[in-house]
Amino acid sequence: MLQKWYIGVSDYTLLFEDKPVVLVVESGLELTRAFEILKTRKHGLRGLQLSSSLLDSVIAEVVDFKRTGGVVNYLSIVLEQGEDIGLILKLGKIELDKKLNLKLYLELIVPVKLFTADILKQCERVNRVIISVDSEEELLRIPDIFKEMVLWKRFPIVKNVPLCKIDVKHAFEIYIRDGLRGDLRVDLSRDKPKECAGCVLMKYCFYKEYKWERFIPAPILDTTTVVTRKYEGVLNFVNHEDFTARF
Amino acid sequence: MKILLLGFNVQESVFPLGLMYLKGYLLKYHPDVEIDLKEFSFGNRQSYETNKNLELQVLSYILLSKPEVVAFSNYIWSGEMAQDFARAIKVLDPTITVVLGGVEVDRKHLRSEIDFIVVGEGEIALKELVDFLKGERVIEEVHNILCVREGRVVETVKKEVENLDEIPFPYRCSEVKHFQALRVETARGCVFNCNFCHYAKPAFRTFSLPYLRENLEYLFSEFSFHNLTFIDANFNTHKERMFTLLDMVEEYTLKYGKKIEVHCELRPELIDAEMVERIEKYSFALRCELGFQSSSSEVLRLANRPTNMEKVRVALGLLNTSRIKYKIDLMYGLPGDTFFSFLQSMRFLLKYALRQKKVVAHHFMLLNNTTFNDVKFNDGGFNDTTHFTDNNNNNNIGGVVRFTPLASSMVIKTQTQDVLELYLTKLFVDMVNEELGCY
Repeated sequence: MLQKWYIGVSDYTLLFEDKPVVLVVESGLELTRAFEILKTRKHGLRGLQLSSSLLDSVIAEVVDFKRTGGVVNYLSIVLEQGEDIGLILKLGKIELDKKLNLKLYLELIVPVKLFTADILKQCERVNRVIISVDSEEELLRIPDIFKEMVLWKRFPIVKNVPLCKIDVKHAFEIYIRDGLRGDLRVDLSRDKPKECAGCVLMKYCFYKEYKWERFIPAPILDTTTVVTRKYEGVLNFVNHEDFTARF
Repeated sequence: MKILLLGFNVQESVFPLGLMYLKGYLLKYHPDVEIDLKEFSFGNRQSYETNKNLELQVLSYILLSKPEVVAFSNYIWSGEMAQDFARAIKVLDPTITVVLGGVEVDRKHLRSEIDFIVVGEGEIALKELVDFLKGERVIEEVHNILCVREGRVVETVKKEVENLDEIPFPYRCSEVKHFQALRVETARGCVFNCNFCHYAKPAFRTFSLPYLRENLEYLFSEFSFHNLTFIDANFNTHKERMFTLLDMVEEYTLKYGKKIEVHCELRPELIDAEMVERIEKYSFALRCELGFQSSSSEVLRLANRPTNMEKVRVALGLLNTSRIKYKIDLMYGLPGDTFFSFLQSMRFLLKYALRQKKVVAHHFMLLNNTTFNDVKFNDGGFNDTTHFTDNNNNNNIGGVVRFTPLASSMVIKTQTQDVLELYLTKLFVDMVNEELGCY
């Protein structure tokens, strides 16, 4: 997916105004501030990430596109409860003014515990569905979830999973940068459980020590030709230094 | 004798160029032969009902035509279909002679319901086949033919038309003068030799400039069209020849008051500032397709497609600031390609092909009569597997396997990817394109 940085509202500064940024909103107050920021953005991406419980406020702003000229064109929604799907469907039905060339990209982050195949069916208008995983046990559901996603022609993608636990191409974090330090090559080796030591992907894995009890690390230690070759592609991909690339 | 030439196209209302070349050449030497020609459109390929109706329609057309010979011109989307039709024809009327030709066919397609296979270009083969059917030539003297005679396979010597000007201009056979798009060939073959492509198989030859001048003017004076496509593999191989031809188009565009768009395929590394400047001076709009396929040095090495990335980058920079429209294509799943190496190619394009609003990518298809398909290292029996050496000259990095052994519509396995990964790549491209369309 396209390069973007996830920045908390309170961390946003004018240094980001021409960067591809998604503002992460934690509360209603932050939401108001986020809309003010979005109106001043110079980059084409005007993104918001928020919990589905805050959707009601967003819908009003989205519906008011004609007046506001399209404040948000990228909306990433973290599903808090299954009932909130109704609000997402409401968003999907909003007709965007074609004359103003308004677009709205919808991304839905679904925790494994809330996932049903029916969500994929109901959320056809949602452009991207990301599965959020919280524990080793939840990983057991992933093959079936992936099967459903392929059935609905969606690229299977997961969040919060250590890179040793999933085929790396499906890891959301591979495709984004650390928000506050997006223009630096960040070494993520710090804050790892000691079990991760020596893993070939340790520098690129977002998995943090405080979460270690939720997953059992399976570090990729074998540096034989076979393993090196297997990960050569992804390492070349994540090691690129071109921070202006869209992707 | 009545001959029915048939083809199948995914688009509607397209001039049947290949079939018309055959008709024109055949009539030149056999003016007494009645030639009927029809190119059927797939229409909606996803519709089972439509496809089944197409089969009934085609067979009905054949039976009503009452031909002595039915010759199918095949491409990647119609190879399987033509074989099925051949079988059906023999059931309905075993007296009809069935000929299979086109870039896709080769020895593997020989079977009881197919009387002759034309390998390579069809003009000489079809003309000499008619000589044979009239009793004027023995089969061994018919060039470019594969057939079975008295239980043994006859494979004749290959020959191409050396002087392309001998081939009548295909549009002169056409009674229909209105098309949305016209396609013109100014050369055959390709100076490059990419392992995935069949363009390089025939020798590179050109139609002469006087031939093209005379016939281009004929097109402009007699036909109604909005798009003129030069279908040469790399139209800018010889810069001055390309501009001589475009100057002709400009001359006739102005003379006949046409408002058209010209389409061609260009090799990006051969685009320079002078080329762009000269193209922009024309009154017609130019839209070009740029073959790129991959930015991976390993993939390009295996494909025998050396590419100067710096020159491609410069060319894209020039095009980005010009009024020339372009489309640059990627191919995923080539031997040596992986999901992430393909993503690197996408990254290159998204960074430099700024005018292109989405990623255009096709999955690799192992075409018959290409080097990738022809190189076999096994026991000599038919095998769809090809092997290539890796950087250490190891000859065992796996093979390329197709879904259908004889047709090349889908590759299900390469030495580095399988069908799941290929499909996931497609889904990833779709996902990126959706996002690109939004901001």
